Amino acid sequence: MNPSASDAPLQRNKRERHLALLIAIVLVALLATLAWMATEKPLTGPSAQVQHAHHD
Amino acid sequence: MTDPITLHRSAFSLPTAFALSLPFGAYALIPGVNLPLVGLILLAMGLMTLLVWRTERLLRPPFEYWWPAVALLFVFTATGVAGGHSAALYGTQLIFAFLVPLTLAAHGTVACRAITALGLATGLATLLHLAADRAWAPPTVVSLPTDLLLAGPESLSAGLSLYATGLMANCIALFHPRFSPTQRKMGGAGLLLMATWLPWLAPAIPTLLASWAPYPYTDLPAVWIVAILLGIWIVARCAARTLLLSHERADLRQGVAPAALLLLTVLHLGFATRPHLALAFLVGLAATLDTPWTGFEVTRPRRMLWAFPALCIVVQVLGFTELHPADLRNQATRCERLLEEGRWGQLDSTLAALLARQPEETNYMLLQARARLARGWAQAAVAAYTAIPPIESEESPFQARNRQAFRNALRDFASAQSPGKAPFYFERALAHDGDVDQVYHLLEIRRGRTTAIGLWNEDTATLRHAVLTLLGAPTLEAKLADWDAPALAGLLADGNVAFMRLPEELVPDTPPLLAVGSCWPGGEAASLTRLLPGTTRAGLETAPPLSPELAAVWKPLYRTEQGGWQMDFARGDTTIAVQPVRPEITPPIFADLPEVQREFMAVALYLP
Repeated sequence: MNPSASDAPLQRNKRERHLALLIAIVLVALLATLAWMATEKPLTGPSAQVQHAHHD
Repeated sequence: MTDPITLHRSAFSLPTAFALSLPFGAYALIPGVNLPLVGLILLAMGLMTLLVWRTERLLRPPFEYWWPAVALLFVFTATGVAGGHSAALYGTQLIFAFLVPLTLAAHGTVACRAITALGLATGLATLLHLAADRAWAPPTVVSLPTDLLLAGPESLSAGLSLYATGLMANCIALFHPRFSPTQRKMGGAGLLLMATWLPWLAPAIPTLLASWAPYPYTDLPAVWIVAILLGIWIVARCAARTLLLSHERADLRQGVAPAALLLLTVLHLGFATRPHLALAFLVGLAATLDTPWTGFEVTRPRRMLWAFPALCIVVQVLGFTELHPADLRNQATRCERLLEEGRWGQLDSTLAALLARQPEETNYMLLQARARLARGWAQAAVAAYTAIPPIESEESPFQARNRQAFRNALRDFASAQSPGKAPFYFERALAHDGDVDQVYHLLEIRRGRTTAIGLWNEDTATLRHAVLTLLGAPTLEAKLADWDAPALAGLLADGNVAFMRLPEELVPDTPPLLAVGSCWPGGEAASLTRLLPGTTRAGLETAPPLSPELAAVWKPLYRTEQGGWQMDFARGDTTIAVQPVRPEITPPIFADLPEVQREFMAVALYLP
């Protein structure tokens, strides 16, 4: 068996994992930004109600 | 043992059936038993998945999807067991909606079919919103700030989440190379159908964006943060795999699926919207879109393919025509549930929208009266109740129960009032229902507990007239014939009526006046009735309007700078402020409510 051929799925999986990690980091950064914005700008008024209603 | 091929034939049409019923929400309920079709198909798909795994002796979903899904399942189970949060149950459904297509739709054509069905069904469900706007279908969501009416979803955020998911499903069907030309056309048709709602949605977008604020994710419990992170990892893993395949095959069109998934995730994170089941389902389907089929040959499931969509259509047609009492579409039941849960804001907006559409619907008016009473606004509640047409010969069981619930609540409210501060709430409701004997019985009880009052004006006819007008029960006149003036004055005083001298300048040409003013956080009402001899009226609400010149002298109730309430008479340059003798009505059960939530009511009898 060709060793490089048997390594291909592993290599592919590794690349997939790295790409997924990159995407996840971007999404988590977005999440963290939103959370930070919320702490910077406290929720008041109708906006707060609308936002909380979304999570009901 | 069950034949595996037969199993597969039926199993492969289930994702399509699921996709077809998903967007219809409350409309896709099995009539009579109030069982959601979506849940039933999800259960069937779960069982089929287990049987497929047993037959193949192989867990088809790749491990990289398995572990976060199972971890999420643990998170939701732990949350459900520990705190009993309802979202845990929904989260479990989301996991199943993601895992099941990984097995059942692990073949391009099945996934393609399901995605096309999801997009097209969302387009068709969008037509229901238009029907709701034209009052052809009962809406399930009434959003006053955005002026949107939705039929099917349980909340505005669920409806918008579904709309975005359907949009992406149609885009995938339209652009992804795996889809057949017919499916591509269906994707385009789905997009066109969804576009028909844009004239309604587009004006609402500025309102939605204006009310946007970043969601305080840091306030969420740790388990939910973990759940969100695991969800992000699942989407990232699915997107990475499909992106890599697109790159390897040098086909950019394959990138439409991961792009759609990422866009949906960003939207859901940004708007802190609970993902619709359709989103989890779409992620599962998109993950299998490019996987080569390694299992055994799939026979085209001819008969079973049509059985499930046909079942969906039958159920939805039946569900449209039959109104089960527990059906979500039965707005009265929904409002009653909101009332029991004390969700006043939602109840007020729903009832306002429903009454604007069907102002004559007794059940809605009864619910409005009950909602006001539940908040301690008895005068407003009785005003709403007496505006309802009298009892019909045959009431529906729901309406009879609704009416009885109001009367029971009002009776309890009235019995909690202290003597001397007890307006004729219950008596007015009974008089409206024509129960005159019981009204008289209650008046006698009042007479027994109060002392007679001697007034400067002992005109018995005027005082009796005032009682009858307040009660709205002209037929009681004969029964009150032997009551003398002090007894009638005592009765009125027990009903929290203040006695005032009619201003001197009004005396020559003005008959005795009965002033009723009330205000509550939802509105205010003031009326002035002339007690002309021989004109006993059926009630305050049905009294003929005041003459313009008299109405001009009567100013509505308002709050003074000192925080009290006041009604003014104004004639020429003279303004006479009227502050009723007993302004506070705070029954013990509502004593802890803040001032702003209380109802204020004042009744004054002006005698010459």
